[in-house]
Amino acid sequence: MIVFEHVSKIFKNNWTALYDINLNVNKGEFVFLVGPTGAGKSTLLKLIYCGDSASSGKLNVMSYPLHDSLSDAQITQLRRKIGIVFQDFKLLLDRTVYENIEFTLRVIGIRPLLIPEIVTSALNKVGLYNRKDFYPYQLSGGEQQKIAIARAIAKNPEILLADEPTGNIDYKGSTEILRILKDINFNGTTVLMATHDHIIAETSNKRIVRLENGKLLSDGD
Amino acid sequence: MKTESYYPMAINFLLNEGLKNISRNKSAFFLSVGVSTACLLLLSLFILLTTNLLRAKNQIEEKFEIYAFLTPDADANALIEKVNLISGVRQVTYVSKEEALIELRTDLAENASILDILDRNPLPASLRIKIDPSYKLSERLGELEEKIRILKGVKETWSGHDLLIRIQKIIRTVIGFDIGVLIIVFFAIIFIVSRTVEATIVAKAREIEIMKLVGASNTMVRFPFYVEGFLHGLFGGVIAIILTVVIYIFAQAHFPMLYFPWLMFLIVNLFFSILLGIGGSYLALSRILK
Repeated sequence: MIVFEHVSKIFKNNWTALYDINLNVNKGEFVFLVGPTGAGKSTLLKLIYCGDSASSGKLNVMSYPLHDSLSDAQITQLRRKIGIVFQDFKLLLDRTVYENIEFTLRVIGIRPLLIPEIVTSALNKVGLYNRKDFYPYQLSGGEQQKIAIARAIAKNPEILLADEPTGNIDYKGSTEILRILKDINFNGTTVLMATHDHIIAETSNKRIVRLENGKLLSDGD
Repeated sequence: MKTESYYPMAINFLLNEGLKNISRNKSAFFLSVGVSTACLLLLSLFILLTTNLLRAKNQIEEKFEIYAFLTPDADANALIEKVNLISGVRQVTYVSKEEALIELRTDLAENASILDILDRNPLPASLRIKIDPSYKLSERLGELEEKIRILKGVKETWSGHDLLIRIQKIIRTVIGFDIGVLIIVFFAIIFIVSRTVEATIVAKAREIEIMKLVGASNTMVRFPFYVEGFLHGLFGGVIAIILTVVIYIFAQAHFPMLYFPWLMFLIVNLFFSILLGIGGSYLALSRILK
């Protein structure tokens, strides 16, 4: 589903964010990307959703060979199949919870008639349907992250990328977020979660890929 | 969860997003619409002036004739024959002294009584000579007039040629101003719309980022900004039309012969302003959303 072959990412200032990464993620897997700040976790996720391009090597995501010549339309199609969750949630503060998810579905062209059902289902999965008319600033950090997850899964992605989704959240909230991500994975979605919190990863009984200074240190449980 | 059912464009959603862009940036939007309106109004007034000058020139041209005033002893029939032989002459009409006086009385209307104090009819008989249109504004008109003037029995001639040349010069100058104003308006509206849309793009940076990350197409991201530019042009154009009509009604009270070219105003103010509005959006999007 996701294949990195000798992928490196070197920025213009000669900083090597990723070096010779070889990684293969199968459909339906749950993979933790663990490493300290600056290890290259976010860059690796960025390459998957075409937020940036690799400097060298081969990268293939859902049979899309990712390279500079990928057209805008191809990137759009790829991103519609990927859900992304960020540490800073990236919610629209002037729209309600419902409108945040509705907005995502409208911009990717989902038929309006289907939207209420999809939004309700996504909010029920994260247990926050009762917050649908709240604005993001009226919610706790954990709740905002759950809304961001609901938004990501509303479009039924094949891959869910979560970049430090528990980074700004307390332990209880983090546990809930993790449970939700595991549920999503249980239903068939491939999940890649980047975290600096190795304890969360180690207690989850899932595949762990360790990164440090842009290099892949280990790949296993 | 069933999400396969995509459809290409949610027009009402995109229009709604365009309107939201405006409502978030109301003051800047209406300020720039005001500037556009002022520019379009200026252009409209110049077009109004130009079309009326052109119309006046055409009317004068339509009625264009050479007047050849005859001496008392002139042989009118012989002169008519001679004038008809001159190249460029289309039709010659004889107007007697009496007919000239009747014409003058008609022209003077309620002031015609002033003629009653005259002991005799001072007006000379004349020939009204219609000429070929190709002669009207050319050097050849002077030669033609000269050929008539030197005929025996012709006292003097008058053609209004100088008046036409003067109007022609004024029209040329005004058209020059029109082009200047058009260029200024073009750049002013493009600039002001692009700056306003740029401000909206910056204000919506987070929204645009999210749209792109979730897989919105370029059209979906850009369309609301084109809606903003379209509405900018539409508002500016409609307000400029209303103001021009108000000025026209006011001016017509003083100059009843004033002509208002409705179709041209609709085309210029709406089509032109909408086109520039969308053009301004395109420029802003090209600069910021690469």
